[in-house]
Amino acid sequence: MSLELYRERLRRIETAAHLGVPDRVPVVLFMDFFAARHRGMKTSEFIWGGEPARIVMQETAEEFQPDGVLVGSPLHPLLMQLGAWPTKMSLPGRDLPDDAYWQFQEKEPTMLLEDYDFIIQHGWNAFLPKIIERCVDYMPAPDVFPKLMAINDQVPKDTEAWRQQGFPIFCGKADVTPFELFSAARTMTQFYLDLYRYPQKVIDAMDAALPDILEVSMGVLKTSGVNRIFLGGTREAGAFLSPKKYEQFCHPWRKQMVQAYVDAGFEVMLHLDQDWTLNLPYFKDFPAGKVSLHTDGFTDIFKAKEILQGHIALKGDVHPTMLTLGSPEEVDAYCEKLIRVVGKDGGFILSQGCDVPMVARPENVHAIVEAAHKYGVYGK
Amino acid sequence: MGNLTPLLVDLQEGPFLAQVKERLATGDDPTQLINECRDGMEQIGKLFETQEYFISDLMMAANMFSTAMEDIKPHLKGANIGAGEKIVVGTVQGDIHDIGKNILIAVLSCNGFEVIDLGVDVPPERFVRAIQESGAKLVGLSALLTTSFLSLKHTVEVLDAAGLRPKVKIMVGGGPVNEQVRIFAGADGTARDAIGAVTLAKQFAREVA
Repeated sequence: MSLELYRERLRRIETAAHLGVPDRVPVVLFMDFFAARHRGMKTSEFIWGGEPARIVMQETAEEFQPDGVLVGSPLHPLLMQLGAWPTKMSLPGRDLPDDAYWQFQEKEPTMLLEDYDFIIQHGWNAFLPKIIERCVDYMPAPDVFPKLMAINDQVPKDTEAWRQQGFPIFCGKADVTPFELFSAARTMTQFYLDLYRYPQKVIDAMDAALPDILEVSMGVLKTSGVNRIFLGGTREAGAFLSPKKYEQFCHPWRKQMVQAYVDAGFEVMLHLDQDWTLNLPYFKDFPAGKVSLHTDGFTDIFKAKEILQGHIALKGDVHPTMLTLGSPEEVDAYCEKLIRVVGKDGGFILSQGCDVPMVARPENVHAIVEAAHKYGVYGK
Repeated sequence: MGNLTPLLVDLQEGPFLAQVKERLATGDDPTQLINECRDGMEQIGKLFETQEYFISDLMMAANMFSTAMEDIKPHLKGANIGAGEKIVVGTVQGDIHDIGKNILIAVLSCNGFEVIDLGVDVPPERFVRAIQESGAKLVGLSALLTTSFLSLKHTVEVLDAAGLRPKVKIMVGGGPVNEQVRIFAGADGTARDAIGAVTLAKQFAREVA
């Protein structure tokens, strides 16, 4: 029964992801910290992953009944620091209360100006030991890579556990562009100043880092049992950077990454936080039907529909603030609008913006799923 | 004699800072230099509003301005550069994010506000103390996490309990903060970005004057 349901849901999700019209608008939710809070697990335990954390996520999915989930297990601090956000972290249970979010400490750079030259010469992977030394303060350095391998080895097992339960996972691995890695490691302020002061150094270092990032991500993705990468982004957004700077420092690398994944037989979900409305026309450069765009309530998803229809599937975007402070009626009305406008002619997956906030009202999360059943059936 | 305004507006850091040093060395009036910088920042604010300039441009301009001010300050020798309206700013308790707050502070400073920066993870009592000690009538509360909404609300409540609420205008801002959060927190205003926040702060400054 579960496998039958799994296939039905997978077909619904993948039809939409490939710009088609499924039987109904699918719902894919990202319930990580929310799952911990909802099921009474302390985040100080949840963040370290493993089976108990995954089970909490599965129990939450069972209760809310989306068609699929974004990821199959919590993003371990090591995955964040080495793959997305190379800074020190404040952790629940150590620096923060047991039930808090983790937070990134971006006060001091973990990548110094001279490190651009090091990366240009040796690549990103050779720089990782320095990141570990400067950021990872909760385990001995020699234990880091064995732990990472163990986390990655767990991914296909998690995928299978979710499949047995009847839930497809949308993304098998997460990574970001070199720009995003550098902006966290240098600190956002310093990195933006670098763009004016040392533009060629930044460009050369991004060129040098890119092959390493792709190699590592593809290795994990190949064994994950899921065919899609989660390619994140925040600080390249038009909310922060002019289109001219986006063209100079961002788009060429994002485009290369997307193309490399597609050439290798994978698909891409762009998980973009903040307002990327100005960047939307650039996304037409990505291969049609292979990319989905997940926005977080800041990007104008209705504009995205106008610009990217027939080219990129859209996923989103109930605002985290609405899920936290709004009412189920508000969520219902917004989801209806999303389904009617963005979901018209398919190519749409209903979802929260970014992730479901830990403090979201559960009845608001239910309202998303219910809206898909109420308004999302095609051909009715 | 040069003019710092176009160099700042064009974000030409090298020539801009060189001219600051050169003109100070030749005895130019430091207040004139500051006025030229403020003119530049005003133009940059307008370019931001028309989406010709972006946050990264603001950050670069603010950095140039503050570096210039470090050079200029020792030359002021008590010259009156206009006492700015005081504003107490901080990221609320439980939240350590400071980038949004720092962008706001940079832009407020460039616009002549005297910013009292309380840092991050600031307990409500520290806001109370800072307002009482400084006499500031404007307050900016920053938050990035959805879990910080309660902290925003609690901070406003503590200011109220201390009898300060009728005397101050409270602005809230940060990633997920919008009008819905402003109402929840009981604050007076919110803005989508730093330039909007400065416009709001100017409006509130007039109201509390």
